[in-house]
Order: sequence, then structure tokens, then C-alpha cells
Amino acid sequence: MLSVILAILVALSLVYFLRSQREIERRISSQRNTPREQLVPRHYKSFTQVENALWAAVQEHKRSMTWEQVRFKAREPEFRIVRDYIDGVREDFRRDHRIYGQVIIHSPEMRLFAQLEWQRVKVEFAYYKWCALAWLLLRTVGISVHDLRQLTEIVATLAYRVRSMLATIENSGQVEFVDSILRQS
Amino acid sequence: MHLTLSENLLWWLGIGLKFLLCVLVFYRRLYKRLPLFSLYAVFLVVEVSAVWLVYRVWGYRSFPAWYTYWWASAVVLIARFLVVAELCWTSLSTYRAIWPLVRKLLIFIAVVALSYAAVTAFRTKSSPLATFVLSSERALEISFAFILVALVGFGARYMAVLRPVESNIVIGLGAYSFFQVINNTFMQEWMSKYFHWWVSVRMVAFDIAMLIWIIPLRNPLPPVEPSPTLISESVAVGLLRQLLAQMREITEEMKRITRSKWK
Repeated sequence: MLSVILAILVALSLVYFLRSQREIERRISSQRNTPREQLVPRHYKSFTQVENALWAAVQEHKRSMTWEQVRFKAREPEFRIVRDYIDGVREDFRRDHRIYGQVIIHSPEMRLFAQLEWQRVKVEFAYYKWCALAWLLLRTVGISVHDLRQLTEIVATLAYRVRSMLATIENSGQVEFVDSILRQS
Repeated sequence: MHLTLSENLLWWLGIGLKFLLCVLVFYRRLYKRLPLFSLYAVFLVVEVSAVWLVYRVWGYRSFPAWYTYWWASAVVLIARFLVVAELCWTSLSTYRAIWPLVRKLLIFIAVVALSYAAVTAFRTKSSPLATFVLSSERALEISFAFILVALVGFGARYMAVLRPVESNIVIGLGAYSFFQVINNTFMQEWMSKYFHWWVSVRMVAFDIAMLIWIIPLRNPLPPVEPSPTLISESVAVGLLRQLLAQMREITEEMKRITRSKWK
């Protein structure tokens, strides 16, 4: 009976991964003519605008509080911008993560690949833990500008590393390689 | 004893699909891209023709029919293993760090499955040939299912998407392996009296798999896009070592931030 349960689990995993592959295909074909600057993470750059918008909204409603102590909840309509920003930053992280995955898979050494993949898993785990916390904060006590800034710093650092990695590859004469990675991410 | 009407219909449907698959494989020149799958398609036609001929001459319950059936099943099973290996090769051979590991894993699976089947066949009181084929099939089918899931999962994680033909071969093989694992389990535990049913379910599952393989072959195959230019080894090693050091810094930073949040 164990083999039947195993077979069902394997079949479900196969369906799940095939669906993921279809989504990747759809994304790749939709990005065929997208300008290159839109293929790199960019949502995190709007942090200053988001902070300004929040500042303006807070000035109207909660004048008495210190800026760093103000907490934003998803339910409040004027702070919908926070949720949109977190979604955008999440997309940035995913894109960074996909670019990184596509570069490390071309590693010529198994040991180096395993170490890079292990770091990838650790970053992924830490990031999703942070996302879970952000989700919880948004729905309970609210998220502060300080929290948002930290999240932005994480994604911006990762984006910077990925960008410099792509620049190094490009400078070594592998322009097509970088282009194909960006189109597939 | 002769086959029933439904079994006859299934046989003819299976024969038709096998011939159609083989013709399409050669008509679309798939042998240039997937030679082992093409060989498998040829084996399917040879197997079904040989078994049909033997059944017709000596009858369904005769000794030659019995031996031909099991030998043909063994050959087709080995060919299926080669198809799975070929799928791994076409999808992973460009990744120099991954392919040697996958190759070793495939050899290990083949050795373990065949050793298990040999030991089971040696210890059985009934026919060693049938036991060997059934045991190796049981072990290999579940391994195929795991390998195919790992292959598709790998593609999803590293954006290495399978081409339509390869993707359909994976779906067909996966679906057949799934049916076979369940079919073999029920057969072993409750249905040994219903050998005819077991064969019929197996045939239907295989017909479904063949239909899935035929679908992308109806139209001309899309041209194969060249795989992205690889980074030269010296550049890659230096660059990736640098990247590893940076990623370690980021991981530590993220861990520190997360820890401060949960306190």
C-alpha cells in the first residue's frame, strides 16, 4: 500500500512541476520583447516614493505619533500602497532568485554548485520567514517604516549583487548569455 | 484459449497506435533528436508483431506465447530505461556539474533494481523469468516516476524548460509508471486471479501514454533553439567563488535581521 501512496504523491508532484514549467514558458514568451531594464528588479527603488506617500497620509490622520513608530495595516485603504509595495518587492526577490539560479547551474564544479545552492536555500528560507512575519504584522499590529526599510535593504543588496554578477559576466564578453538569462527569468 | 472481444479490440488499438507512433517518429525525423526514443518506438512495433504472430500460431496459453511475452516485456522495459536516461541526457548534459552526478545515479538505480529483481527471481518457486521481469518492472517503474519528477522539478527550479516533445514523453512515461505501480501493487496483493484484468489495465495505460506521445508529432517539430552560450570555465569558477562569498554575507545579514524581528 505504501507504493500506492508514493505513486500518488509522485503523480501530484509531477503535475505541480509541469504546471510550473508551463508558467515559466508563458512568462518567457511574454518577456520576449520586453525592454531589458524591465527584466531586472526595480520595485524596491520606489521605496522613497512609498515613504513620501505614507508620510502624507499619516500627516492627515495621525499627527501626534513619531514617524518610526507608526504602523500600517493592510485593512486601512490609504495604506494599500504598503501591500502593493511588499508584493512588488516580493517579485523583485523572485526575479533575483531566478537569475541567481540560472547562473549557478552553469557552475563547472559540483562542490561549488552545491555550496552556492545551499546559500540560495538559506537566503530563500530566511526571506520567506521574513515574508511570513511581514504578512502577520500587516494583519495584526501593523508594519512599520523601519520594517519596510529593512526588507528593501535585503532585496536591494541581493539585486546589487546580482547586477554586479551580470555586469562581470557581460564584461567578459558573454552578452548573449546575460541576455538569455534575463529573458528566461 | 483465445482472447475475448474486448481484449482483441484493445490489442488492435494498441497495435495501431504503436505503428502510428513509429511512423510519425520517422516521418518527423525525431530519431535525429531522440535516437533512443525512436529505437523504443521501433521495439514496440517489433514486440507487438512478434507476440501477435506467436499468439496466432501457437495460441494465447502456449509455452512459446508465454516466453515470447515475457522476453518482449523485458526488452521493452530496458528500452524504456534507456528513454528515461536519454531524457536526462538531453535536458541536463549542458550542465557540467550536474550531469556526472545524474549519470552515476542512473547507473546506481539500474544496478539496484536489477539486483533486487535477480534476488527475487532466484528465491521464487514459480517462474524465474516472469518473476524477474515483474520485480525489475516494479522497481524500475517507481524509479522512473521519481527520476521524471526530479527532472521536471529541476527544470522548474532552474528555468530549464523541457521542449514540447520531451515534455509529452515525460508525461506519457510518468502516467504509465503511475498506473503500473498501482496496477502491480493490486495485482500482487489481491488480483493474482485476474491476470487478464491486469494485462488489460496495463494496455489501456500504455495506449494513453502513446496518445500523449503522438500529440506533438502531429505537426512538424519546432526548430531546436540553441542553448545559451556557456561561460568559459575560468571565468565561471572565479566569478562563482566571488558570488559564494557575497551570498554568505547576505545570508548572515538576513539571519541577523530575522532574529532581531522574532525577539
